[in-house]
Amino acid sequence: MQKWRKIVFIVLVGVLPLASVSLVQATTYTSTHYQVNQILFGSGGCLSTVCSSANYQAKIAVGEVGVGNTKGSAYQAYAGFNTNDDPYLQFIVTSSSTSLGSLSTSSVATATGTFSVRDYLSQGYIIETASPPPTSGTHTLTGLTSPTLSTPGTEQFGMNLVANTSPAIGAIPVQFPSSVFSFGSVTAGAPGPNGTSVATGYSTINYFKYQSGDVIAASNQSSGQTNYTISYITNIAGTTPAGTYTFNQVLIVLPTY
Amino acid sequence: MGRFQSTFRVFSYRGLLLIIAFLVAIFGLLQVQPASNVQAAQIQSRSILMSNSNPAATALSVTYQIRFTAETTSLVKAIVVDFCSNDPTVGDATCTAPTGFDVGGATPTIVTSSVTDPTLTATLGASGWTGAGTNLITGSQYRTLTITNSTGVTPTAGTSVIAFDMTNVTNPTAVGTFYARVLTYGTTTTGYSPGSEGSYIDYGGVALSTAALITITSKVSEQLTFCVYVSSCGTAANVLLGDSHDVLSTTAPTTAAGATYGVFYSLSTNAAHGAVVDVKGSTLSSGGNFIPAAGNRFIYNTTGTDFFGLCEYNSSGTAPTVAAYYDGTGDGSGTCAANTTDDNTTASLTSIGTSPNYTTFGFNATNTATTYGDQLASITAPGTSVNAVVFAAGINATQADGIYTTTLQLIATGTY
Repeated sequence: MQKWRKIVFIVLVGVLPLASVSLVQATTYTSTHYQVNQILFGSGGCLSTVCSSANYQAKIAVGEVGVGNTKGSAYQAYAGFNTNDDPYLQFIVTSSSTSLGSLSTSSVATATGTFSVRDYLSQGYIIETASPPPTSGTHTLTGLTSPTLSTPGTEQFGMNLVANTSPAIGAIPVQFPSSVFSFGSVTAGAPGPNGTSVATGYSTINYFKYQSGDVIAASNQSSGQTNYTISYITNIAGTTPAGTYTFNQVLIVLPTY
Repeated sequence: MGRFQSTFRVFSYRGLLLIIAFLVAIFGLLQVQPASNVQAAQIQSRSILMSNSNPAATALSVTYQIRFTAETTSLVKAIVVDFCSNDPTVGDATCTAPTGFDVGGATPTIVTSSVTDPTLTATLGASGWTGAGTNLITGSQYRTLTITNSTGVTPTAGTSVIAFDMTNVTNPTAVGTFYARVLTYGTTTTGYSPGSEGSYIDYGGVALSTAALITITSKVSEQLTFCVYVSSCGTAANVLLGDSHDVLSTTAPTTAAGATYGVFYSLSTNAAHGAVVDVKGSTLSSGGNFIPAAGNRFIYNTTGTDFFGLCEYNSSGTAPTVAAYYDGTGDGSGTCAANTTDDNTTASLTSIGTSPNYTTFGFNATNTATTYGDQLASITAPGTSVNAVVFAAGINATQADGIYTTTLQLIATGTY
C-alpha cells in the first residue's frame, strides 16, 4: 500500500511539471539529427486552454517563482531567496585632474568628468555639487546661474550632463545594465526622495549652468548603475584677472533609505 | 499489532523531526531581533547628508545631517549613530571604524534647532541635547555619536521627522562606502554596543560614501588688448584735419567731436592695478615748419590762432581718468564738444559750450617728445574702456603753407 502511494506521489511530482512543459509554446531548436521543441526553465504549470476536458477546466501553477521589487508609498520589498537586507550604495567619482592650459578670450575651454551611482534598498538618491566655481586668489570665475550658451570673451563657468554639439562634449547618462534596472536621471525636475528633484539647467544641450548646492542628478527608487558624464565649459573676458584657476568639484550623494 | 507499532514508531520519529525543525526555525527567527526589542521598528526616510564628500576634507570641518522619520510614538531620550566600515546592520556584533573617521571628538557639536534644512521641523527642539563621542578609535577620534536629553521628546510615528546636525565631523580618509547604524532609546543610558544594543525603540541603517574630486586647472595670462582705429579695430587710424580739401582755416579751428577728426582707442586689460595710455609724438609739422602745440587752451579763444591739440572723452566701458591737458576741462558735457562748419571759404565754430565751460584742447609737446610720451589717460582697475581722441588745429594768416603731418603713438601699459 505504501509502495503504491510512493509511486503515485512520484508520478504526480514528476509528471505534472513535465506535462506543463508540453503545453508551453516555445522556440524550437533543431540540428540535423535532433530537435528540442519545448523548453522551460521553471517549475511549470498548465494553462486553462489545455488543462480542460468536456466538463472541467483548470489553470495550474506549480511553485511559481516571484522575485523582484514591489513597493508602496512608504514601504518596499524585494522578493526572492537571494536578496540582501542591507542598504547598499556605490558612488564612484572617477578621480581626474584636467589642465585646460591657458584660457583665451576667443575660444571656449572644455573638460569632462564622470561618476556613477548604484544603490539598493533605498527610496532613491540625489547628487549635489558642492564646490565654488574655479578660483584664483580672491577671484572666482562667474558661475552661470541660469542656463546659458557658451560665449567666448565673456567670463563664464558652467556645466551640464548631456551630449552637446557646441562645444562638442559630453554624453547622456548611461543606464547599466539597462533602463529596466537603472533609473538615474539629470532631467530638470526629475524626482529624488523626500520631495527633492533635479535642478533646471543641466540637461539642455549646449546650455550650461553652475550653482553650488544644486541637485544635478536623482533617482526616486533603488537603481542599478547609472554612469554620468559632466561637461564643463570655461570662458574668460579680457578683464578676468590673471592667475591659475583651480576647480575641485566635490560631489555629494544623498541616498535615503 | 506489529504493523501498528511500526507505523507508530515511524510517526513518532517523523513527528520528533518535525518538532525539532519547527523549533530550529522559530529559534532562528528569534535571532533576527533581540528579545527585548521585538517591537522595535525600522525608521523610514533615513539619510545622512554630508556637507563635503572629500576624504581629504579638513579635519573636524564637515557637517553631517542625520534625518529620519520616527516609526514609534514613544519618548526618545537618546539617539545613537554608530559609523562602521563593514555594514549597517543593527545587531551585527562587528562594527569596524572607518579609517580616519571622527564624530567630532569626545564632545561633538550638534545642532538640533533648525539644522541646515529650514524646511524641517525641529522635532528635537532648539536645546537640551548634548552629544558625546564614544568608541575611541585613536587619539581623540571617536566612532559613535550619542546624543541625549534627560527630558526627551515624543515623536509621532510615521510623521515626525527627526533631524540634527553634527558640525565638526572628520571624514574617513579612504574613498568609498561606509555605513551608519541609527538607534533611538527611551533612556539616556543606552547600553549600546554592536551586537548588544540594549532596549532601543527604533533603528535603521544608512549608507554613505566619500568620493574622489574632479580637479580642473586652468591659467589666465596677463592680458592687454589695445586697439587704435577710426571705424573699427583693425582698420587704419588716419585723420585728415581740414575742410573738404583738407585745408585748415584762419577763421576758425577745425575740429569735431566723434570720428570725423579723431580716433578711437579701446583698452581691455586684466591688469590688477589698471593701465595707463600715453601719447607720444610731436605737433603737426611740414618740413621745418610746425603748428605750435596747444598747451591747454579753450577752444573758443582759438580763432586765427596757430595751435594743434587734442581732447579725449569716454565712449563706452570704464571711464578713465584723463590727464588735465586732454580732458576737455570746462566742457561740462565731457564729450569734447566743438564742431566746425566749413564751406571751403569760411569756417565757423559751434557747440563750444558757454563760459566758463568751454571745451579745452591740449598738447604738451615737451612731455610727448619724451621716451615714453605724455600720459593721456589711466584706469585704476581691470576693465574695458573705449575712448575718443578728438584733434583740433587752427592757423593764422602767417602760417607757412604746406602739408602738415604728425605721427602720434598711443601706448598702453598695464600694471599687474
